[in-house]
Amino acid sequence: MTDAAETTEPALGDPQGRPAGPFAFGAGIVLVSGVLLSQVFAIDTTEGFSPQGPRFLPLVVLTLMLVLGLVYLAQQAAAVRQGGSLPAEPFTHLAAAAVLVGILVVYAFVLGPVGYVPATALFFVAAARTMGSRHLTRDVVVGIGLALLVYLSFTRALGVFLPQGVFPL
Amino acid sequence: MRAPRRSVVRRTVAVAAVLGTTLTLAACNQAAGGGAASSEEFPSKTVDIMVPAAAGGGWDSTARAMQKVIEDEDVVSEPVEVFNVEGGGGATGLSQLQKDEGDPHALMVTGLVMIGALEQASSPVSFEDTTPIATLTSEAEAFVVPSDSQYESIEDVVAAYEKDPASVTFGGGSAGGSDQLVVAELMKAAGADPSQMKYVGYSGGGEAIAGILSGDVAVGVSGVSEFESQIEAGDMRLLAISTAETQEVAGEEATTLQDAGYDIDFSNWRALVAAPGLSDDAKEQVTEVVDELHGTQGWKDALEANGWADFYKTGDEAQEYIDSEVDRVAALYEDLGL
Amino acid sequence: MSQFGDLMGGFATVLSPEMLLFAVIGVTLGTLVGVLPGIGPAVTIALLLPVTYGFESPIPAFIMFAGIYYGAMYGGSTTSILLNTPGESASVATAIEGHEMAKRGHARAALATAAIGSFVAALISTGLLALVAEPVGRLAVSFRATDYFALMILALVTVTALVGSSLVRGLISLLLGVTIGFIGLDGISGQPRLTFDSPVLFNGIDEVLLIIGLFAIGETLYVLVKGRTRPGQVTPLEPVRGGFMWLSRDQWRRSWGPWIRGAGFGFPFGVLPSGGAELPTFLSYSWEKNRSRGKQEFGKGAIEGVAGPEAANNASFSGVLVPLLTLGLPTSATAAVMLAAFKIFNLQPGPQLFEENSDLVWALIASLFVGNVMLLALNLPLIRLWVKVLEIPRPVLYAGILVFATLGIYSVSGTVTDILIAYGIGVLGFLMRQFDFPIAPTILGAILGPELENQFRRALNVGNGDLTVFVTRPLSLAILLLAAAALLLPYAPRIVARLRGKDPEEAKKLAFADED
Repeated sequence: MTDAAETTEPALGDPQGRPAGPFAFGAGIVLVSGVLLSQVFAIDTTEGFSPQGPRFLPLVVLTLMLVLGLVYLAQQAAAVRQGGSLPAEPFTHLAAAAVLVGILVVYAFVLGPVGYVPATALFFVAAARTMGSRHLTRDVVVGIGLALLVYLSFTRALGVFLPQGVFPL
Repeated sequence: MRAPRRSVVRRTVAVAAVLGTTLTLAACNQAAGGGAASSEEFPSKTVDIMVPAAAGGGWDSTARAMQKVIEDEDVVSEPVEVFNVEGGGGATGLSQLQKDEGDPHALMVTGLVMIGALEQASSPVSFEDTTPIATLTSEAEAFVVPSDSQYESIEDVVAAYEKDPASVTFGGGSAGGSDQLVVAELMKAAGADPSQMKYVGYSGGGEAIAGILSGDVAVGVSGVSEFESQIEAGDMRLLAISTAETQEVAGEEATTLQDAGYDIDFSNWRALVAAPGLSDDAKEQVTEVVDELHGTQGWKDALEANGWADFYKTGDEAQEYIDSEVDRVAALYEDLGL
Repeated sequence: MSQFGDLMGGFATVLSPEMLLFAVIGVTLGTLVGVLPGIGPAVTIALLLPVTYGFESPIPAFIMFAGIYYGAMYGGSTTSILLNTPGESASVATAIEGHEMAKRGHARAALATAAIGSFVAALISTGLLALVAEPVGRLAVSFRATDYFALMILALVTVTALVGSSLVRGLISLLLGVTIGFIGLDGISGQPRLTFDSPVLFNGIDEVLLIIGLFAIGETLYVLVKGRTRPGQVTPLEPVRGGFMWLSRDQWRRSWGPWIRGAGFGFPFGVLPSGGAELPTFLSYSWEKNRSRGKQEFGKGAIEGVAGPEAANNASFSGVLVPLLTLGLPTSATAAVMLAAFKIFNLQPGPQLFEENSDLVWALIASLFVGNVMLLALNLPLIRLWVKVLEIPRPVLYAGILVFATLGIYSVSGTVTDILIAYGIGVLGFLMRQFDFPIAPTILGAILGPELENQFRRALNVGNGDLTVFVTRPLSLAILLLAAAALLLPYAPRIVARLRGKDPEEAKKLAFADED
């Protein structure tokens, strides 16, 4: 099946990214598999690596993933050697995505101390702008409305806790 | 607490306008919390009951039943909120409780299962870092076999285990939980070596029952209520229950392990604790509220509806009980080699 | 046929204005719950349980709960199709083809085949529940750990269609999911695994975190990077030509087969105590991809890939009710909460339930029919409204998705750590999309992996470590042989061709026509 799959591979390497991308991702897979593999040996057990014990399957699966990660890297290398030029469509908004991840992380941390409604409304506006919105008023209105609707229906109707934060409602 | 199969219940909760309209009534009696009154009186602000697990499990239903009864019967004037902090079998919630030191409004539901989890997690926080208020409910553990089993009594099971530990497969809730602990306790009391135990863990009550009925497991161990309908239907035979006091199971008085001659009194209890460092006065006041809750008809109904046995201890009695349970679980973990 | 008379009695109970009101509340709530990412039926029901303390009769409560569950299944397909953000694992398979259909302007047809398919499957499976509950329930509990292991292996080899165009990338995705499933306390020995000694990870990574991360968050990041959140990116809806209920004649013709087959996959898996609603959706997807008439369209929005899985996930619920009602066995999170509801009303599900409370049982079964009729009536007109979602400005839409994704995690687990884990998984999901790794195998791995491992080790534990346990039990052996056949059969033309000395390439095309 392997060769069947490879011959029908639609594009060599990553069809859209930069050539470095797939290499970095492949290396990441290999690295993570390696680190996790070392953790398998840290599992406390009296059964060693017997199929009955807690180490056996993680060992098998992670070894396999490590090998497949290396195969993937080799495929990418082969693709570069054969084709040379990988179609490199630049992802113009990568920076925006990084900013969005940053905003998400900040949101997670301020949710508790600041309170659900203000944190969510601010997050909504910031996220929408990062994704290209240029209608600030609309975003603010929708953000506050959404946050209030969610907060009230969860806390009042369902008795589910959401942090109240700095503005008592 | 037994999480239904596959992780803890889906993390969920509904929203929406429709809900808003269908349950508007609920909104009416929910006064706004907050306010910075002095901490002399309890409660002076919203009472928070933390569930150190995801919504939908046993601790969660205990907390929500308390919340409902307190609000329905106007036990306190301030609102009561239930919130969930999942992780580490309760260790995450317990650590979070530490930051409310001295605040009687920060309460947490807990139970026997958490002792084991803290033990397993080698958690830096322990039950010492709480102010125990009261134990609330308990459930006896039941030992059952399929109705066509060769074992007629719990003595038969112990005898078979003593002869060859590998010949008896026990099964119940997750490994290291209360179900496995009670088997360890039984073997210890019988003078056998618990570390030889063959135990198959299942993640939900349904799967465990299926495992027993299919014949994978020779002796099933879990909360009595899990097996009641199978016992009633004649698919399973109840060998013994783990509490000192007997109770009716499927219309018949159950044999206790003590009746069978093993000195064991084991139950899966749940309790309410407060943040650490409460003043005696504050502790007293919280206890009064819980006392009142415990006395209401609403709480009795909730116990009945959920099939929980009343297991009410407060003050020093609760403290001593929890301390002794911590010691017991630690010893059992040692014996099991976990 | 006494069942028929009983069922009519059930309808008589259910078709009162009061009961219908509860059904309406249930299906509406359920649809909303299903639409929101990460917000599923089980906890909704758990949260509403205290409300039922005040009810006189359990029947309205169950009517409402059944409505919530089915409603969630109907609603779950909506976000999968429109936005590629399934809210729960049972809708993941739907997203694969469903979102492709939406991208090509066939959103209405995809939503319609999902809704009608759910309806058809629910009718079939509820009919089966009414007719054969008792014997099927008995049969299901005779499955032992070895049989389950064999069954999981069979499932694993038959869902290879999910792996996609590259075996290497597909397998890495799958193993990634299995690895994520290892994290946490080992269910058999109780030992922590791959947790780096952090108690935060002891409960493992909930499948909901995984789904919200890989789909809702990963998809948002991907869409952003591709520049598709910028204005002017909305695909216009194809006008509906002729047809009936949003589906053209051809689409009806292509849908009914997958609906019925999907129900055929869903019901038995629901019945099995360790079956679940996810596996049958993946099996149905694979079956349609390899066997159906529209297989050459797979990857570009084949309607069979929506119709089958949606039917399967709905059918599995009636299946789940079989062990619940006949044996008192809760085999899913929702069933566990429903069992708690039974206990509130002092009812013991089990063999006696059909005798002692047959009114209740038949009313419940009748309410399933009624609830599904309502859902169909609710969902078909709603399609007009749902497709409007696509007209919401993208930045607002995706910011809203992120808000609901975060809410779904925070409201139930209450920890910042869980939110951060989901975000981390979201970045992984983005990278996987970027480098063309399929997402569905990761979900499959995270669900199937732990189940497979647990059954494997339980079986060995019971059999004192003897590996022959898997081949000495006839049922297990039969299933394993079936798995071997399923694995080798696609190669049969090739092997035969090779034996005859023909060009293997030629023959291979027959088996892998879907890989173009």
